[in-house]
Amino acid sequence: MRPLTEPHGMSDADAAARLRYVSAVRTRARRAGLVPAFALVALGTVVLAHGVLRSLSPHRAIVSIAFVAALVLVRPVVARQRRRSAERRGLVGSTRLRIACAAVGVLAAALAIVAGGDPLISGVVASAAVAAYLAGMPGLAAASIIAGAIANAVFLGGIDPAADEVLVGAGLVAAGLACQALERRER
Amino acid sequence: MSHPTKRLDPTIHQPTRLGILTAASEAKRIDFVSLRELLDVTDGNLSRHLTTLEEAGYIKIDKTFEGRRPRTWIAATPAGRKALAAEIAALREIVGAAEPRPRRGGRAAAEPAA
Repeated sequence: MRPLTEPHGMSDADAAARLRYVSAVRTRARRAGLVPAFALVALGTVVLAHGVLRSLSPHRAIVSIAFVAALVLVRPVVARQRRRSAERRGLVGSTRLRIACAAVGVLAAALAIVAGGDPLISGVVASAAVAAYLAGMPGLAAASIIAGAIANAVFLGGIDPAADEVLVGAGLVAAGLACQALERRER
Repeated sequence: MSHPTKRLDPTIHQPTRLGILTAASEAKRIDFVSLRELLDVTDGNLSRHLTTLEEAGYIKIDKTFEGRRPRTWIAATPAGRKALAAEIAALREIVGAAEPRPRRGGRAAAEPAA
């Protein structure tokens, strides 16, 4: 890129190069802030744990309510840990982006309830897909959406919901770990 | 309305300063070391551009200590975010003004628009 100190002589090619540079920096900053690979592992663990608990208990509705209550209770601890970890890494991510990911997840869960799908899987997969997309990982975003669609189709086809969640949760954790390994190799 | 090149802000037009403001706008705050690695610049170069942006009121710099280790945090101010949005809009306008305009019937004009 040609460094310019006098902006008034800028050509359209220079402007396009600046926009590409802004986009690349933005993607790198978002990836560092959202940490989509870690999000996949964390969210996958939540789905996996919920599936395992539901498969072990005969009172599935009670397990789900208790699970959500436990998540709400541990949320401040998790948030504090995440903030400390972000400060150690040197980049505290934007709250606006995290809220956007969470909002899409809640919307997807609500739609799944209306359509008869699995709300936990739908919400988690939608959140993960948005985080991956914002972090410049469209392949991972597409894979998350496809995995969610297949999981919901299987769910509607009559598979045991607990088994479905265990499979999807394990898949998300594996994908997240694979992404972390790839990122380490790139560094 | 003035030509978009007239609306480019000389303070953030410089690539490193544009990168600093972009990265800071995408985070709540970012430290000096992370910013240096993200933009692949030297300490001296980054310091100089940070001072320019701070003097313009586009970023806020906080120097803290973690134990005995000093740490510098950078955050974009509302004025900085606004300036970045205006710069990006002006750059998009410059690119858009140069793209061929579609003719009636959907075919693009052969010559670039003025």
